[in-house]
Amino acid sequence: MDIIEVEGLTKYYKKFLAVDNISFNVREGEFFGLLGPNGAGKTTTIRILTGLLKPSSGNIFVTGIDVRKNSVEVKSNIGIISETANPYLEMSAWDNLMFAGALHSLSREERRKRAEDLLKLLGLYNRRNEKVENFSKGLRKRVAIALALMHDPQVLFLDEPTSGLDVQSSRMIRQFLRKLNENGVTIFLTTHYIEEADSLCDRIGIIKNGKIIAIDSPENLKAQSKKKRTLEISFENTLENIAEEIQKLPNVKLVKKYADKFIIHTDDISETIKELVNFASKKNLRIVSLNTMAPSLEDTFVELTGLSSLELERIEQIGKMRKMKM
Amino acid sequence: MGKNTLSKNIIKSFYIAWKDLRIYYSSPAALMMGLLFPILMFLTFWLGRNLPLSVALPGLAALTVFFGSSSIAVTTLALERAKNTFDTQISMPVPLIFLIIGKTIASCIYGFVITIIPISILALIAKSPTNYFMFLTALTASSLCSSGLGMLLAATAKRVHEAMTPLNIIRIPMMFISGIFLPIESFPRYLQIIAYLMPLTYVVDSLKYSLIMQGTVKSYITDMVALIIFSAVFLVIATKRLNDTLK
Repeated sequence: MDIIEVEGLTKYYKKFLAVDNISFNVREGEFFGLLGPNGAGKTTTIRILTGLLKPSSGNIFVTGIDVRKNSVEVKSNIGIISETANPYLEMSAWDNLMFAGALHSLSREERRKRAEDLLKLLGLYNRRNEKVENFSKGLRKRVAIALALMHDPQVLFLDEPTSGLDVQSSRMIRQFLRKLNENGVTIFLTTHYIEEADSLCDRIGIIKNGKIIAIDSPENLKAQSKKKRTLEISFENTLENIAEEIQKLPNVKLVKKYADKFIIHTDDISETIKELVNFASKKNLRIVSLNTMAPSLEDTFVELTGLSSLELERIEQIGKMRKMKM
Repeated sequence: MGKNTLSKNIIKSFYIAWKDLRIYYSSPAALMMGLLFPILMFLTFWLGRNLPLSVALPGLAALTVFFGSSSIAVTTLALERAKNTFDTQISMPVPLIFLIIGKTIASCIYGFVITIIPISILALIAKSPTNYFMFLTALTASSLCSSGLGMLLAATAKRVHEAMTPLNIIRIPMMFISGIFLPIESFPRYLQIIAYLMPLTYVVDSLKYSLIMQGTVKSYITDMVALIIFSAVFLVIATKRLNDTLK
């Protein structure tokens, strides 16, 4: 069953076309990621799906409810975490959760129980009475997650949840999201971190200039890459001209040496592995490692979005700079 | 959780009001523009003019409630945007009108409380012929109208100063032609017409009647009706403007 249905979604900011007639579905229980470079339309899309922004046109149903007609009802069924939805810094973590619970019409008892459970789960219980302004960015994000989960939503929307966080906080949040998804919560995530999308999502939509240009599982997206599979091999003891020797093996197209490894481009992975093992045996070489290298999601992303590796590096740099500001 | 019924939404408005009062009542913008400025402004005009305290009370009450409520209204809305907590608020299942109502309740209570305490004490000291029921009613309507004006201007503001500047451009000139310092009857005809288009005029007039029995019951009732109409118009436009920010 589809829990999010989007058809022909278009959004203009005056004359600027931010989202261009996109359509997609997200299944119940799915971990769905919207991946794209900055300014691609990810945040606009997630804001429209969550009723925080009105579309110019298109049909959007979340949990079976028309977002355009009844965004308030939709908000009762979803949780939202974004960079522009901070907890109240002047209030304690506990009071923030009590307030959110009250706005979701939870009873006092339900609020207390739920807040206690969530704060324990997110490692905040011992600091529950401290004002959130004393918390680090990572801890504030955890409070934001708890706020979004107070009413036990069916779908959790996250806009760049680990952006600007340190490695430890990011890892903790990813593990938490995984567990949440295992427990049946549908997750819709936007990110520009390719590895994050690759490691978390069941399916990924790649968005560029407001259009969804690909949508599939991470592995199927990788398979779309024009890059061929390669082999990576390293030996304990090496001989002179070993690269040239490997190059002579059947099916081998190209051999490149990187540090103590050889990267082998081939048309037939399986046959080449057999040849390499025979080759090592004949030459009395001991194999230290032998890996098949599939094209990465980054390769597919770069090919599809047309981003140069320099631009991609810049995006990563921005991410690192945000982390340093922490 | 069930449906978002009217009663549930009203309760949510009160939770929003409670949260706003806890967070924003002591913010510098609210204290400066809502409390200190009207008192200083009033003292500037009152001191040295040899006016009895009771005569000066309606002016002081009007300035305090008008500046207090409108300032906190601006603060609660614009500061939320500046601090990135506005999305937290609108991501909850609360219709915008009830969000506005919640924030209006907070600014009403703020204006009401900072006015009622000092003015009641001063009215007792000055032995002013105050009708306290009418005074409380006038104060409630006045704080509601002042909050509405603040909401109207803050609905689209991303920073406090973006709303506070136009608010001051409107309310400071309004202060001089609303009958606080000089009777409206002494103004030229065109200024009198402008004065009667200003909500503060009705705030001052209703407080004059309830605090020092200056005027008539008929004019007091007219003031109440005018303030309620102003409030409704301000709040409807504020909700519409807020809704427009989501487009």
